[in-house]
Amino acid sequence: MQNNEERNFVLRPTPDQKFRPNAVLPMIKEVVTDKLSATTYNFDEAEDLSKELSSTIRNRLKGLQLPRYKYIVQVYLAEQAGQGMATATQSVWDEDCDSYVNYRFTNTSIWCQVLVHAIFHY
Amino acid sequence: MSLPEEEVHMMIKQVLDETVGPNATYTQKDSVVWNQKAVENITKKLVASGKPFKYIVTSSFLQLSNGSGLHVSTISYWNKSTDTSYMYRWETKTMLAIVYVFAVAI
Repeated sequence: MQNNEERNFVLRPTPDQKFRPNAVLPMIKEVVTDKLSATTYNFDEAEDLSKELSSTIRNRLKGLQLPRYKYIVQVYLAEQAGQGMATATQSVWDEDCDSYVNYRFTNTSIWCQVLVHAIFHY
Repeated sequence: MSLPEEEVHMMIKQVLDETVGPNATYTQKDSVVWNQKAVENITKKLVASGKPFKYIVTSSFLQLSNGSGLHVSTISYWNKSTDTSYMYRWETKTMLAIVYVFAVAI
């Protein structure tokens, strides 16, 4: 099969150009653990930290070389203070080629959740 | 072509007012149920508007009790001219709901 880059219109990604959540999860894990494992929560830095995390993850996603995917990266960063939090997500999309990854990280003072959606562009 | 922002905000507000209501208090159990209902109903409304988009709806309920903060940052890699994101913030005395809607052109 030809590569998707050489075709103008595609309905499905080739097997090696498919977004695979299980392959992406370790990357997210690595980025988040690197940044946060030795950090304690600080309100003034939290905003920058979350922005930095999301842009790092996005750049790594771009580096995967999956040319027809669009990405949405959401980073939730909060202080671990015993508060409750629940997230729900629902999508209307093409189950075959679109996908999402969810990763949650906690240490003694920070609580962080990363949600990545990948959408195939035909 | 894309949905106007006010329209989406209205949808979200309406759904949250209906499913949760302004006087509800946060409990862990309820929040999970509200979340699912809210997300489902918002998605239904979006689809009912009949625009050619793929939708992603994410909603988070945060308990507001001990003054903890929450930062959400989203960043996307997409076509700025066709794809849109909407954010809506809804609050009661005991909780905060943050709803993100992403509409991605097909």
